[in-house]
Amino acid sequence: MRMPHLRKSTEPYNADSLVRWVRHRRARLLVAVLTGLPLAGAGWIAVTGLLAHDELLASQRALNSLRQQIAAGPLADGSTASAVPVKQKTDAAVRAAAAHAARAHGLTTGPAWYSAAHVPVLGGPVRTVRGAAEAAERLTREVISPLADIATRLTADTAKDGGHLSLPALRRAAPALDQASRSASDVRREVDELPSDTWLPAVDRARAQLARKLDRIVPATGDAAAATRVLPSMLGERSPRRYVVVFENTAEARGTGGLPGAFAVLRADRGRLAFEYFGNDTEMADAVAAVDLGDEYAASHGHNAPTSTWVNSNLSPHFPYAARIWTAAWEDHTGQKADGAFALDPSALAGLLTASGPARLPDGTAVTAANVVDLTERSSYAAYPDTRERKAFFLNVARAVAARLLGVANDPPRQPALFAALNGQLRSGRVKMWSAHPSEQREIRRRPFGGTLPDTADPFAGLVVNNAAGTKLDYYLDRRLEWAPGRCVAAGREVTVTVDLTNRAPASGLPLYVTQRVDAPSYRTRPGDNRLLVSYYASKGARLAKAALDGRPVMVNQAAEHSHPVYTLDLELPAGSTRSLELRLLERPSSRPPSLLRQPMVRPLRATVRPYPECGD
Amino acid sequence: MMIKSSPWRAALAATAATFVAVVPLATAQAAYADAPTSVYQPYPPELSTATVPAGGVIYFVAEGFEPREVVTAALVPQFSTALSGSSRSGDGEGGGDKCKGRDATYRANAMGTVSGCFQVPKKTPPGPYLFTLTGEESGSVSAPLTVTAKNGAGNEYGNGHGPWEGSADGASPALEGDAEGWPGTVKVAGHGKTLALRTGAAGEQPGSVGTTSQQALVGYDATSHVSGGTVPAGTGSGTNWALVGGAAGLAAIAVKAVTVVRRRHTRTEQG
Repeated sequence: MRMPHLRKSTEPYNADSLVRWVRHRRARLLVAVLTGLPLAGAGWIAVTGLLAHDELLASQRALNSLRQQIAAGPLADGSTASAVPVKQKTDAAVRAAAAHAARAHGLTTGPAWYSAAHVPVLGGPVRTVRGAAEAAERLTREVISPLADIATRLTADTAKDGGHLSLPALRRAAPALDQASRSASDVRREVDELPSDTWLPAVDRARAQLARKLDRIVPATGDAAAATRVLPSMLGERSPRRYVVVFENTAEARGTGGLPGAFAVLRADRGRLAFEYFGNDTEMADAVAAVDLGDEYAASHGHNAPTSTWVNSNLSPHFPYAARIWTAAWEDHTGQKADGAFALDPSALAGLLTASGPARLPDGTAVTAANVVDLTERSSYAAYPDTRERKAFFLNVARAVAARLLGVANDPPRQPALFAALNGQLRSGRVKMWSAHPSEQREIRRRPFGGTLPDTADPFAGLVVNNAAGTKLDYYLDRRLEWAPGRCVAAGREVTVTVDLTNRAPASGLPLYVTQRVDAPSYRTRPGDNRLLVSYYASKGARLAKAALDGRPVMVNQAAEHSHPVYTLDLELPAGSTRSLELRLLERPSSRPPSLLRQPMVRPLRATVRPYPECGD
Repeated sequence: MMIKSSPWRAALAATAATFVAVVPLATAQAAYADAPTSVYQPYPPELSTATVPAGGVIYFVAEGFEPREVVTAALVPQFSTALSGSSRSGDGEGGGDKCKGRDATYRANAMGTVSGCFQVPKKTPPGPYLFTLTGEESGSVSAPLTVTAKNGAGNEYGNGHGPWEGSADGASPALEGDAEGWPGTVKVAGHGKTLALRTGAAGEQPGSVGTTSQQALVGYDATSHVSGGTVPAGTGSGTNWALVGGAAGLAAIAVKAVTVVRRRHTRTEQG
């Protein structure tokens, strides 16, 4: 009886203990599970994250290798025999990059990554890493791979046709390029939506780096897609086309770059290009362009007769104005209609010689990327005071450079580097284009080589100079522009624009042709003194509060182009001097950095854009 | 996650455009070299300024004054501190009245805008001037302007294409709203003010002979409120400037005669 009693007396105790023990075990297990799983998950994420990181680095290395092979491979050894191995290497590099990116994406998927990405606050870096890996995978699969395939096919078709672009192949590539362009934009948007300010700075930096890469990839892909849409027709796929090609001399500044000196007329017929005429400004002296550019244009530039004075035809930086004048003047001169216009300058030539390698003159002189601007815009004026001799020299330079560039352009293995260099010149606006056909111009005008003033109300800053002395002294012109946003006031955001212009022409030793003052000023000047119309193109809606020249208040001429206020000062700029124009503006509040208009000249614009302070500061 | 941009993309983006541009680039050089040696270069571009004959009228709209502020108009010769001779002017509060009276005073409206017309004295010596509006409180605004001999002609611009063309009252400058975008209108801005002006010949209806022209000398303002021209002081001494100033009037007469059309035909051997 005792046992049962005892059992009775102990069972409940033991059962309770057991229950408590079990409950305790469960609790501990639960605790262990609750703590262990996240720890395990965190460990898994850490390990796979590191592996994904390595995969992405490998993908990056593959693409770097691809770039180096294309940029340096064909030119390094100078032989076309290496073309096929290089192509195979590039294909392999693209495949490797895509495979590594796919593995990185795979490593960052699954329950652990999914769950961790949804943890508030702590999940931020996980979401960023996961999204970035996915973006990398999409980029290599949907953008880089098809682009490489298309480029390879185009290159092959071009090679088969003796270096001439295959227009049917270009048109066939359009849908795939459109898709690649859309994918690139989608990826860019997805990366934008990823957390950018997490508790892990390294992840934030990596996301920012990826976003910067995409900032270059997206427009490049868009340009390629646009090219396939418009170039078949521009290159005369259905009917021959004719273009006016103008060579700008940036030693004498004009709004689009430099004075339009020489020009050529280019004919495009089913992808074949040929020049059918060459001329210069003298020939166009009496040509009148029957074109109405509107009251706004006439108010700003009409008094300089731009439609009937060839060398004043590009005072505005808005390239379509100049192009319309050029094509209309050509029609007036010859009766021939032109389908568009191009403009370029010696600095663009220098950029192309960087890729092609130097040309050589008959006397052995090398024309290189480093000296072509100096040869054509400075030293030739001193070396050849006689106009005929100077032109003979230009002819030699032209022949040598043309032969070099055409040689490289018609050599498929060498084309990518040259075309990449041209792409750089197009994107920098040193080569501009305009089409008289609206559907084509709609594509062109949105791109840097369209040379158009923007239609948006976003912040904009454009320093434009026109030589008002008739000198060739802008070769020595240094330009600095600082755009500094200030506090917000009731009328908008204060913006201070400072323009410093320095005339670095030597005080003596320059040829008369370079320093002569065609403007015949009524005040005394010295050789080397220059005179500029200095214009600042402001954001739409901007208003000028104050203007000062060298610290003293000054009035500036006010006009407008494409709804952008334009403030202009007629400025005497003596040799060796720096003059500073300060404009205090009120602009619409915005947090976007301004678009900068970089007028292509010999010396680059040095621009500084200050960050936005908080409104009220 | 550091994805490098493939050069293939750049190459592809450039490919098609290159076929258009590379060859022109190279051959344009040859074109330049093959060009005839006899070339021309007309006068370089100049900033648009206004021209008015002696006895003519100046129509203006200026913003940035104090509400209801009294504003005085004057024609100030450049390179001299002396004010110009007597002037006929309109009372023109808010604009709209004919040019009349000798006191060239106006009153700004409630928005600080003043408009009206100013008659240039018939005996005003030709030369470069500043048309200056000075508020009693808020300072001045001025624009460069060249006075020509009586009945002196302007150029082809501003011949009645202004915004007040066909103005019903026959005198109102009607420079309302945004005067930009109209040929013949000169507009300047600075220290919180803007001034748009247009000119007409003596005895003619407004808008019939508004002119602008090219002016060799610039220098926007010589008043105490605004700095002098853009020619730096270091270019010449004060004495030289006085001498130059004395000659400037004569120079301007010669310069204004050089019209755009004539300039187009100026030839200078260039290369």
